[in-house]
Amino acid sequence: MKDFSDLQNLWSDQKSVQLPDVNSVLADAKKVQRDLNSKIIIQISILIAVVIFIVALMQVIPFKEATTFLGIGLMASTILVFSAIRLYQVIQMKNINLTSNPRILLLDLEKYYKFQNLVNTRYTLIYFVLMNLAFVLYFSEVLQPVPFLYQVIIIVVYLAWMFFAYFYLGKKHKQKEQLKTQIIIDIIKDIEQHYDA
Amino acid sequence: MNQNQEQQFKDLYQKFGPKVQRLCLGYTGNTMEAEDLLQEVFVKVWQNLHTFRGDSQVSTWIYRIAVNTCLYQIRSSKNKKSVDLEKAPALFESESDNKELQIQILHKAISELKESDRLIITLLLEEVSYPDIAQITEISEANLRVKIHRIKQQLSIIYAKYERL
Repeated sequence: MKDFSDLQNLWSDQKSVQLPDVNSVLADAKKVQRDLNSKIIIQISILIAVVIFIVALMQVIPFKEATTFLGIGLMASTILVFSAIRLYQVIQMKNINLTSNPRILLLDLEKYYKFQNLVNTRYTLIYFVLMNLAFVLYFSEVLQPVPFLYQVIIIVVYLAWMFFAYFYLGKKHKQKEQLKTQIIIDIIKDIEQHYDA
Repeated sequence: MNQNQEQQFKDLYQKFGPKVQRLCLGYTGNTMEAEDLLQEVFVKVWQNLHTFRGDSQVSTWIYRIAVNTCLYQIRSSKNKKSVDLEKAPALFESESDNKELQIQILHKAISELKESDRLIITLLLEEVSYPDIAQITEISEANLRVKIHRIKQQLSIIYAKYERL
């Protein structure tokens, strides 16, 4: 059996691998920085665009029923809150400090992925339900001039899609996301425990 | 970021790139993944260069980023990298060069350790001092000595197991 100094000699005898070109690494670093900033700008733009769109919609189309306003309001609030959550996640990831104590990094990562798990499962389902509810309220006025038969067809197709999306696609998505993030959380916890052991 | 910082970055890359690359290789056990990780480390170095105040040695600072980047790369299934040894013996017998095979066995043995142990032992193999490893990993020196003693034993046992095969 080799002792550690033999292994150390072996390690130092490794052939050196050629490093990637420094200019391409620098260009990559600048691009990553730009992309992250763009992500934040996009999320903020979505938030602003939603507000502008809703205000414009209220001004342009003369809705009469309270349910329509309620539907549009609910749609806007749901998109706003969900975009704000996404923005928070991007900022949360940006704020993870890789020069800090590794233990703090692991705790930050655990916190990030736990929140992501919540967003990708429970919050996404709530988003789906609220958006559908908003559409139902919105359509109650919009569909009034449409012949009764078409109203029935639209409602049946819409409900069928909603149930399929919620009970089949939603469930599948939730399981997949939960498994994905849970594996990462478990790995982080395992490293944390071992780190302090 | 000005020209000065770009030059500083390039100097750091030339000086510490090879060391960080070996650390990443020890962690991943795979040249391609090590290269990706190396790039990732230096992306973080670039992003944080303006925050470096010189409170610690620059080597400690870069190794800290490297250790954190390795831990940060937790993505999907268990982050245990397997180093494939199956094809290696035939290849090296014909070349009558045993050294490369031994190095592969060493990588295989390291890849079987826990993530944080892989990082600690690779830093030690890179001849980083105990106080510096303690500072990089924020593990007390006393605790680190105990850990290193255990990791060394583990590594030797795993290495011997594969050497016999």
